[in-house]
Amino acid sequence: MKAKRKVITIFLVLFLLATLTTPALAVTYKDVEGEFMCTCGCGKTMTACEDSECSVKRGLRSTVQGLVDSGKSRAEIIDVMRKNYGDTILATPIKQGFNWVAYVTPFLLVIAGGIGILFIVRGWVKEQDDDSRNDENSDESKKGDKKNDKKYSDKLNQELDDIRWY
Amino acid sequence: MTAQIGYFSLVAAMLVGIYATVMPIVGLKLKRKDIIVSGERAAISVAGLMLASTGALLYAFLSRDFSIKYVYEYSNRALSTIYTISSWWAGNQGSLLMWAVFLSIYAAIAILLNRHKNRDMMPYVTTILSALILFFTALIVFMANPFVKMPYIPADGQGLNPMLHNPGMYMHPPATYLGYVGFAIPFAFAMAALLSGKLGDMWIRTTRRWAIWGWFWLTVGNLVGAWWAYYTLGWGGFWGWDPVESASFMPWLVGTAYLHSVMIQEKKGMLKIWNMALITITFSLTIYGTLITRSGIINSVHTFSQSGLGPYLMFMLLSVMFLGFGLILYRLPMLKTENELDSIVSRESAFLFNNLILLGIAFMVLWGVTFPFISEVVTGNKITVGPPFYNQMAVPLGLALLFLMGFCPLIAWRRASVANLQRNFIYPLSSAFAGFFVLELIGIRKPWAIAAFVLVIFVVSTIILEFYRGTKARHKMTDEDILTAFINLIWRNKRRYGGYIVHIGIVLIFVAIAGGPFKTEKNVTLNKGAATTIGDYKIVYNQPIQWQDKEKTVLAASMTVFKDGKKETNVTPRKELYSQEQQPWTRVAIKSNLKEDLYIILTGVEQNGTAGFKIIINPLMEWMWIAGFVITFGTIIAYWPDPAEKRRLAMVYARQGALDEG
Repeated sequence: MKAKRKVITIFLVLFLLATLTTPALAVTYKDVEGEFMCTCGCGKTMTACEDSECSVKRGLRSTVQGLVDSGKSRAEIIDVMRKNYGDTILATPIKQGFNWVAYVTPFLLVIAGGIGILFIVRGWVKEQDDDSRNDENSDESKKGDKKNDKKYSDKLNQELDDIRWY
Repeated sequence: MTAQIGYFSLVAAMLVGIYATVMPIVGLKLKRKDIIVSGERAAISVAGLMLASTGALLYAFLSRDFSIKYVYEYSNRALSTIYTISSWWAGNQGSLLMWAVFLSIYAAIAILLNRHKNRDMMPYVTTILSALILFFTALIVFMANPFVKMPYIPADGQGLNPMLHNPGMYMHPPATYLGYVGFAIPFAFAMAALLSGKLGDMWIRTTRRWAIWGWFWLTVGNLVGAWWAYYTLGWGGFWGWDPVESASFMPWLVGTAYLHSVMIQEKKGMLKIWNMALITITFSLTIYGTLITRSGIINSVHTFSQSGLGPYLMFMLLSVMFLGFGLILYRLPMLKTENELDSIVSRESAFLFNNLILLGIAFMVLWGVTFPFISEVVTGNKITVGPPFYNQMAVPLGLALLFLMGFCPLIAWRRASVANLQRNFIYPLSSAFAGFFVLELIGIRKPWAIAAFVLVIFVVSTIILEFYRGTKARHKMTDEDILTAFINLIWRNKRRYGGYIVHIGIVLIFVAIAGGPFKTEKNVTLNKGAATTIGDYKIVYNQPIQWQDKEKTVLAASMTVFKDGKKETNVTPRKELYSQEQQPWTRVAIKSNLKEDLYIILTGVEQNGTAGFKIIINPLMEWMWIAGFVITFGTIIAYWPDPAEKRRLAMVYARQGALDEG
């Protein structure tokens, strides 16, 4: 058992090392274009709106390219674009203030739902346990052959394991 | 004359629809079987009238009857026959007619299939379906009549939007509508079960195939839509989280949850309330999809121009929700079941978590669509919720779903023992770890992609293991050879193994999506005869070519693709200028294989023949389309009639009949 745990720990450490050691590179235009919406009214990001078909996109592209060429970081580029065009230029709500609600709510609901399911299922299991205990205490049950019950119960479980769902 | 036939068929369908809506309930109240049957026959004849109306519209298109405004607006003489037929659903009026005609055909089939069964529920089913058809028919007659005449007869029509000149046009809208409408039948039966008090699992068993049918077509509709968007420049790739894409994704998610959770009710009689709620939400979301396409409240590539139908569709959406949830509340005491499980770790609870994640994703999408409005109301600040938001949020939830897809089949119903877990998980987990090492060795460094690939291996391993164990057991028990045992295993358990094949298809979609972060692209300007390289490819630009046909002028670039020094193919990315449009349309050239797609966009051509290109390598994209075929294959197996199931159902009907008579 200890050996198993060690192997799993090594795997996890390797996984984290492998995934967290991506080298940091300078920002390129490609890295940031998806952060912004095209303002031509197409409702698409700058990545999706095609240069060859949209003059507005070409203008935005040269603005972003200029910011990239000036050596600005990702955060600085986003900040400049936001100041110039307003929050609607950003393809995702910036993570501050009320906007956090957008990011957090779905996960909170899933977590709450998960906890809810655990409680509900635990209730079902408990009810079942209580019912079983009552059955065991009844006279009729006491008369039964417990060994046989166990045997049939095991067999039923085994069959349910094997057959599962048809 | 064609317009008159079409319009009067619609009006007749509406009037007969009123009769079909009212009479089954009247018959039920008066305990008059003949009146109920008369109502059902009226509902069947509505389908005939709707088909007549559709036939008239199609005839008008094919005979180039430009005296009809809709025909004039969406076709012209140059349009090929296949696109002329597809013009039927190119506009608001025609597509609404398609909704109604599909629904009327489904209703007629459902009524015919149940003329000797489910007699307690059928009056309600007929009324609910007829009311839905009546609503849409009335909308068409009063608000979106496709047979409105022109004040004069034009010599030619305006033609079909060039964006719709794509094979996706034949499949995507009809498939999506077949899916949307398909969920109307389980919804109607669910409501009928609530109204009639027949709250067992009969409504689920009766509509199981309808639910699979709806789900399948919605899947095909979404996938063909993704394929179309991928091949059409400017739609944001195969999935752009366009509000209307999201609107068809949400019922798919909730419908998927429904298909899984009904198994628990069929097997254990649990989750009655939950299943009623899921089918109500699924059907409500199909109406929501129709609403946002036609209300003009959201800007999207899919939306029809301001149609004025928004308030009416909103009314229908609220009515469906009110009916569904109202009846659930009304029958709440009868829907409560004695739920019991032997352990928290069981397939039942895993299915509940699967439902939670599917609904979580659906909520996230709905939340993304509505949050800009909420934000503006609360903060007064306008913001945008675009594709990167959905991608960020969907990735962890999607991976959780992928994990459950592997986890669920491995744990037993009722109670999973430690031995059961060890026995079932050892091989899939080992395969997943081995896969992780291989990814490490080949230098994959994107965390989410690694997680996705590892989980894909885990899920595929679990499915292979299920097939292997089943085949082995059958081979031992029956002395069949391995291949026969394998085929019989699937054939005798169509639902279960068809479902697993569908899971493989879904996994393949994850594979294609996980390839996304490895996309590479470059922009180049090439003189005639010059070449560029990207990945393993060398692409030579030979020359520009131009030609003209009845509909358009085409400017293309002739290019030759070489891979590892060998000629692979010739491609011609192009721009097309349609006579009725000012803006040229760009058609990409794609060279696909299982590893990657070479995606070439012609961005422009100079006078001297120099041309600009955007060249992209999209890894693993082909798997997305293969997934469609795998899902189709799995669905056909799961859908195929099963004699054993038929016998079981016949016994249930016989028992029910005996009880009713007794």
